Amino acid sequence: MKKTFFLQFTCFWLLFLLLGYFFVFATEHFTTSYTRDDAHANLVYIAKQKTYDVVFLGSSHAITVFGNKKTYKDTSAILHKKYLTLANAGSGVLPQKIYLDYFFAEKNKTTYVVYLLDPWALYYRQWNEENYFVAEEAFRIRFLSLLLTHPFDRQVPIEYIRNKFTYLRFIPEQKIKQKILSKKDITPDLIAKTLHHYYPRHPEEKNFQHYSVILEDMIKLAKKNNSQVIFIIPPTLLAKNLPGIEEEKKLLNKLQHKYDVHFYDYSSAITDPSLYLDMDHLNRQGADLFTEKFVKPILP
Amino acid sequence: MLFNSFKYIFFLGIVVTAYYCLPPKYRLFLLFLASCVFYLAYKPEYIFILFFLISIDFVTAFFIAKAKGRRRILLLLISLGMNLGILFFFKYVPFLATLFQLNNDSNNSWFLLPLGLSFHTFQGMSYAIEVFKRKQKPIKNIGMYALYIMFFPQLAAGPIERPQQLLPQFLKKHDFVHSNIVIGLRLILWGMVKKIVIADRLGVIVNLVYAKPHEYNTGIILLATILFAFEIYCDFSGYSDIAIGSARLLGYKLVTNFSFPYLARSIADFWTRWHISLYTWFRDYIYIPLGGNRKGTIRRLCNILIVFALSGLWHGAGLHYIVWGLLNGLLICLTSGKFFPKKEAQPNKKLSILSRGVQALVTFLLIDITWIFFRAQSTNEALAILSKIFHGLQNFPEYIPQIYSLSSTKIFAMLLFNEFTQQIIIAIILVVALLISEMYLASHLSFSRLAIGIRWAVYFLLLFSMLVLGDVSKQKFIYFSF
Repeated sequence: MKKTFFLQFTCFWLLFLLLGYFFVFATEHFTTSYTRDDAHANLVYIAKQKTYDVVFLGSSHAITVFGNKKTYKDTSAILHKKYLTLANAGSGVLPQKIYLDYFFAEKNKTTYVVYLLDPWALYYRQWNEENYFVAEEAFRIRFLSLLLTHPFDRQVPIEYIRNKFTYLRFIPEQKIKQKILSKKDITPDLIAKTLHHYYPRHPEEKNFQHYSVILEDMIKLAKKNNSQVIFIIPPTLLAKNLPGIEEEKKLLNKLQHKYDVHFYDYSSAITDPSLYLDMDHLNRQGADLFTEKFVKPILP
Repeated sequence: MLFNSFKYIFFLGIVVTAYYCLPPKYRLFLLFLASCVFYLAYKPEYIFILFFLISIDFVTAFFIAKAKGRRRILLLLISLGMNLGILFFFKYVPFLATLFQLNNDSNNSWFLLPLGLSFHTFQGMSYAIEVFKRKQKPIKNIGMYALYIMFFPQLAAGPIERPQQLLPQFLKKHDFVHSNIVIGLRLILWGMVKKIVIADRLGVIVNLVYAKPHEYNTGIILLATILFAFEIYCDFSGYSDIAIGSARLLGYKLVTNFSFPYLARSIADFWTRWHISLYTWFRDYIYIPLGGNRKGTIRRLCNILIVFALSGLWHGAGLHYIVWGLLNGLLICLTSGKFFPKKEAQPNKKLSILSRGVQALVTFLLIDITWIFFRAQSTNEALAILSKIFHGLQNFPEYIPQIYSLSSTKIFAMLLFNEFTQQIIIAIILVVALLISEMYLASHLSFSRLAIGIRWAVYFLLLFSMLVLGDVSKQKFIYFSF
């Protein structure tokens, strides 16, 4: 009888340890800590009750200049400011609002909120409600509740949870090859391809109005938390071709007067192709120049 | 050494292993040694108080059995007096000193209550009384008597054993029995889950709210009050389960201390299911000697109030404890008027599940109101909380349209947003899971008869819940304070 008991006892604990191992392995993304150098996840960087000088919002155009990773020290040194970037690749206004909501909900403070706003962010569901930006995000219950209370596509919060159970460590490091674009690389084909990527369909006015309202909500949120808001249209080689850019300028002018926010149109500020990776992303040299000459002066 | 700690699990493992490896003649000595180690882990110098009481009770009981007439009564009074005197000294003198501003040390560090004092003094008095009544022969071996008092599974917080129940078990040889080990481990696991996962989780919210009740609205205070009912139940019954399970591993059967009290359908029924060992002690040594229900209705009701006032006093030196006790006594007097009524031979099968459910719910709510006095820091605070709850309930109809206008997803998301409400959601899920488990266990469906796969799946689930939701060894048991 003793032998039977000890055999069962041993088998039980071995099975328990095995199940425990699989459980931990499968759910490690819920609790693993990442360093600045190996994670895209913005939530990893959002602590509680911290004070910053600047919070940058935007898309990949903001990340290439103000990324949280290896370039942070250098850019921070140029600006002489402590900053946090909540930008996300392909992020429209709605995902950026969620990040800003979460930032303030964690009782953080910032003097400035600087939004590098691309015009295409104001036109399409694929950059907003149907944006699966959460796939690379760390799991936070409060963030999940924000996804549920905003009009995201149903699959977005589901994907947020489901992705955490993958056994593959899905934190791909974005390796940006620093290269210099030359004038001969800029072909009509390249321009058309880039525009089609950002504008898959004809931009619609009703979408613009819808996302304008969300933009105003973001301004109100920042104001409520005593942060000054600055909008920047980021530099691009497509400034003359971008649909909706004039509508965006009109909107930001209107918001500037209505909410006492600041607006700077830097879409044509940098026209030298050698400072770009492609048609609209600055390379390291271009980013440093942009930071030094255009961003630093507007942040006293 | 807290039951909900790795230290205790390690200690228990060693004791049980050594127990079955040793020849039977050394086992009682091992248990005595283990009990001393268990006690010394708390506050070593207090062991002398324990040995002193053990010596007094042992010697007086020995002479009570031999004496006659008034001498027997005197010896009994000496035994009871020593026990109650020490209990009074450690439990009530610090409170009185603070009350009359004689003691500036708000922590009362010198008067740290000896471990299990309220429990082993009652156990010792029970022995002396049973010898006096000639229902128990005095033990000739002081070591065995010491073990009866100090037996480590039930030393800290009961169950309060009777000599006829426990002492004969020390004389038997306990071989390794598979079912004892399985039942023991199962009880310990369930007790740990109730304490670590449920009670401590609920305690997070209850402690927050009851620390500053004026900062919270009626809904939250009401919820915290309901959660406290489950917190104290899981805390105390969890401890009892671990104690009973630990003893069972060694082959000893301790008395059941809780019998699904929140399934009770009357106040009187509740008090036959809650802390059974204490309230049977009061019944046998206070209520019945006062006349019980044999001296007319008024005397019976007075006896009930006396018993419950004393039980309130036993729990702590504070007016709110006495008020708590008296309230319960009053509720019994106003409802059935019976203390420990005899169970009906045939339960009323005509009552539907709904009716029985409503009875249980009403009983729970009445008991829960009394728990406010138990949990609050003072009677005034308890009355303030009660007043806030009743005023809030009067205004509740105004909030119905607002709640109705929100979608369920929005409500759920809003609850998830706040850390405090996240804790509340977890607490509610745990309480529902507990109630379902209790109803299953109360239905007498044998868990052992389920397939091994299902049993193991349940054990895994409980173990994982401890790892994921539990907070091991940080929170002591509520009843350790008594």
